[in-house]
Amino acid sequence: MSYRFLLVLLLVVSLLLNVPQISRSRPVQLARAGTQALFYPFNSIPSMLLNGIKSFIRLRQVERDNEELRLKLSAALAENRTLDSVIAENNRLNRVLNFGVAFGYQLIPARVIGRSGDTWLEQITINKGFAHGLRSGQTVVNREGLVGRVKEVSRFTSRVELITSPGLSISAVLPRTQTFGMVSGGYGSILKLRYVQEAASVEAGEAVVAGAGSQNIAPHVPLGRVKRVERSVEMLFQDIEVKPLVDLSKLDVVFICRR
Amino acid sequence: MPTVIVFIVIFLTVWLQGQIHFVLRPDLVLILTVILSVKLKKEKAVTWAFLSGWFSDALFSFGFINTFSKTTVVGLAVFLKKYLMWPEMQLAAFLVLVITPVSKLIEMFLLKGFYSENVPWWPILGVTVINLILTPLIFYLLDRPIQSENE
Repeated sequence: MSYRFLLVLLLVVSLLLNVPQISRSRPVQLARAGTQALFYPFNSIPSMLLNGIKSFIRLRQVERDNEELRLKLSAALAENRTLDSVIAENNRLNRVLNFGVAFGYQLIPARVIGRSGDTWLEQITINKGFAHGLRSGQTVVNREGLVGRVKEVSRFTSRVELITSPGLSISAVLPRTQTFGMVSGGYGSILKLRYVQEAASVEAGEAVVAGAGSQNIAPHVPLGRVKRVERSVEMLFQDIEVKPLVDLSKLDVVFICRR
Repeated sequence: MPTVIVFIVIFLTVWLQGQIHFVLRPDLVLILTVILSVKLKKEKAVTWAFLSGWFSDALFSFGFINTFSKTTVVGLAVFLKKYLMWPEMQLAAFLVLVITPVSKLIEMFLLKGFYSENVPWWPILGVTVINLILTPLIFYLLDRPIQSENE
């Protein structure tokens, strides 16, 4: 077939194909559909590849989003835990505040900033001093009960003598029987309630509160619970061990009672 | 084997052309057919031009405008090639420069004549420039896969 003939043939065919009556005819439509069918797999592969790449990119985006959301969730959970802690602290402070109001004292909050190993059960240092209204001898409490007494005051810090200190003796009372005695430290983490007559009724587990007789110590502040009672006919007084209500190993925030 | 390569190249070009949807888009099929007209024998060139136009129309358009325009312009390219003894790449670029407006004008007239569709004329200049820029690049890409049959 000569080139000219071929060219003319193709031109005529292609021109005729544009005539609507011919282009809409069944053979042409079939030929068009056949071409589309022939090309369909090849035509769809690039589209599939493109879609695959797009899906992969989206997947990466989803992975990044997922990672970001995980981080946000972790942060939110951490924040939630902090808030739980804040709520717990708030409840604790509320209880202490109610305690202070009930006993007619203004409570000055202070944080424990120092504690020595060799005087662990004897004294602590707090971050408030006479600049904040603290005076020597003021009662120190926390939400559980009596902590001790302010011993030395500087401008911005103070030293608190704990109730377990051997140097501190506090007038105490057993509210159930209104029996008075004297609580003393120096026995490790246990207190001794002394000068309770042999005949007095004292039971293990009963409450011990600060009595009115102690100098500067606020009366009626919960102090501890009777742990063990020992009586003997030869002894004039009972030997009573008192467990402090305050866990002195976990002191963090304390309150100074000021009238 | 070269026929398979040419078919694959034409298919990829037609497919790629179908993926471009800008107003000012290059006519990759036209560039390819012109390059084929430079590198292949005239019978093959005009047949491939017809087929590539057919494929374009069958896959991506409603009429058979491309079939006619591509066949016509390749016929024109083959005719001009006889009188221009230039290196292939310059020849291809020159033919694209001349043929793109002709092809677009043919398409315009066919669309107006057969389908009463008005096509703006101003993109012709832009498409010509874009085609001219792309021709050397496409020529180099196809230079090795499609061996010249003119020798």
